[in-house]
Amino acid sequence: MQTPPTSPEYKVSSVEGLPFLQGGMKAICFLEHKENKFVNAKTMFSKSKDDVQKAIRYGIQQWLQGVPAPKRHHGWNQSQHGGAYTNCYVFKHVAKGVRFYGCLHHPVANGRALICCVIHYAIKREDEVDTYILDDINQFLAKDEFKAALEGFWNELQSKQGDVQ
Amino acid sequence: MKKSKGKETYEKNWTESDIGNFLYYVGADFVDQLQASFDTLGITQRSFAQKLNVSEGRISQVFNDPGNLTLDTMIKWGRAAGLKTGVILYNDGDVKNVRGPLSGSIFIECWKRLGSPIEMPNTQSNFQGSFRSQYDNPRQNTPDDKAVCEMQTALVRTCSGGQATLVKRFLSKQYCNEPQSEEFYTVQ
Repeated sequence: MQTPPTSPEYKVSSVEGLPFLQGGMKAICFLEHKENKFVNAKTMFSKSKDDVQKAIRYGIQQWLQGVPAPKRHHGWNQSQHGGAYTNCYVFKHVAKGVRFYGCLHHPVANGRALICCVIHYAIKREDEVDTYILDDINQFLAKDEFKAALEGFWNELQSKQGDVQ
Repeated sequence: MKKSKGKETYEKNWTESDIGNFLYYVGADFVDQLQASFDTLGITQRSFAQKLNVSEGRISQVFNDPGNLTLDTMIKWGRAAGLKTGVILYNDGDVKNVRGPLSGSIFIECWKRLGSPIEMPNTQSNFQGSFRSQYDNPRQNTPDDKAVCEMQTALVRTCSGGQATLVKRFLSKQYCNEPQSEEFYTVQ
């Protein structure tokens, strides 16, 4: 008899080197899940070469600061794909074809704040959007346990933010 | 990337743990600004390489891994794109560098919003050009002058070293009609 998956299934952790809220309004995190192979961003990020890690961290920091840099990070707006992927986001190292896909979530405690949870790593060479990946990303936001994990992460960050200031 | 400081433990920003990471950030910020100017000015990577008398591959190499850019190269490449390269020191109150460096784009955006001044913004020309039509004597301590004075005082408090001295000089000589003590302008 197989043992059921341990609860909680979803674990959310900060990105090393980018652990705090930006101006109290934006935060970045990795999703972890023991059994779901699609959830590979954290593992692959730590296995990535130094130049890729730097490029992705730089892109994330640009996002945190609200600096537009479409070659490094972007989302999808209402006019693209019928607005189906407005909660999806990607960080890129274009030259290496590296993509880190994630989703956006507004914490209940502050609807203006934004968490980006990085979920999936992929190598991409074509210009076209891998919509099947974005469809999978979207599914996470429908799961209550996932959202609960993000809310927990947000609350933890709020207390840490207080500690460092 | 955890660092202990007495009883306090905090995680450092990735640019804090290694000077190479900080250099990468500065370099990447530079190439992003350069590439953005390519789009605006219609410059191609090929024409840029030709202007610098280097191969396109060399340009790509630096764009993809900008961590080894030297100031010398930044100045040359900036000039080749018709731009000027600047270096600034600032104090954003984040002494532990928890949030990391600020993007140059933020400073550029602020500069543009001030009307892209080519000299230190002041009440007489840049900030309050429009006030001259509203007030007979712009030297008077109008509420707007006072607001600008307070803003510049705040600026002094966020600057450090030479910048603070420079702003203090402007404040004491030209703008604030109400003299302030030296302590008032001391950088905290």
